[in-house]
Amino acid sequence: MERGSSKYEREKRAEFGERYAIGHRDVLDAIERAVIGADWGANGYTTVREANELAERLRLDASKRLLDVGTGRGWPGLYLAKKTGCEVVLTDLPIEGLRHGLTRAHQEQVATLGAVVSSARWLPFRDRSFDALCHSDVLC
Amino acid sequence: MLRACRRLLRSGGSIAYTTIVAAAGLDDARRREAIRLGPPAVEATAPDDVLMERAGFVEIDVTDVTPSFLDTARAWSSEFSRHESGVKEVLGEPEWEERQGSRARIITGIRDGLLRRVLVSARVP
Repeated sequence: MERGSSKYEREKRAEFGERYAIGHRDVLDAIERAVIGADWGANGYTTVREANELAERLRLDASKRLLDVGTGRGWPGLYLAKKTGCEVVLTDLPIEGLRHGLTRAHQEQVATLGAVVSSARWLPFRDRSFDALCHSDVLC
Repeated sequence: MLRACRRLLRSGGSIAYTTIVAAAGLDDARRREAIRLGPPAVEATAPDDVLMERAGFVEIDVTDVTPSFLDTARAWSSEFSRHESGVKEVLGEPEWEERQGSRARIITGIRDGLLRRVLVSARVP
């Protein structure tokens, strides 16, 4: 059990872990492109347009280090890193999603510093280690 | 969670996120219905701008993105229906039903004025 994780988080980790264990499939990718405008393995409500708004508000560029909390398979953190050149660290509870994210980061040559299994309520990083932080409808 | 985020950001650093919330000004019964229909974040006891200020952020901006939230929820639902057999083959029928049920509850919550989605951004002084 992760430090600080609640019963709800453990249940969600199991539930989302099963979801993320399913790799990219043509039908799911096609649906995702039709709904949010990209196919990074997302199934939430953040569209490409909103991700672009996040990039602008975070003032992301190649000099910045971004933490994406509750990233799932890497959306929107990997997209933001690819778009702006910033470095990104991914965190979430299900390791299955992070594995997909790291594979995709390698394929897309995104500057990913790593992926960490952690609860959003207990983030195991040193103080003041990031220039920017984002999350999309994190469920805790 | 916001305090944990604040701790990790350098001076001048920024946070931006989306979250689903209960609409402002609901009576107790409608608020309970919003909580039933929405994700756990809906149970937050204060608006995001207040929570952000308490966590030490400045230049807080909260933008309502509920119209695009409704569009996106409807698009997921209709695309899943359009590709029903293909999706069920990949995810299984129970998962298809669960996701469609969750989206239907969200759509009901938005349409009934109970749920909103906001895009929040702020900076560390």
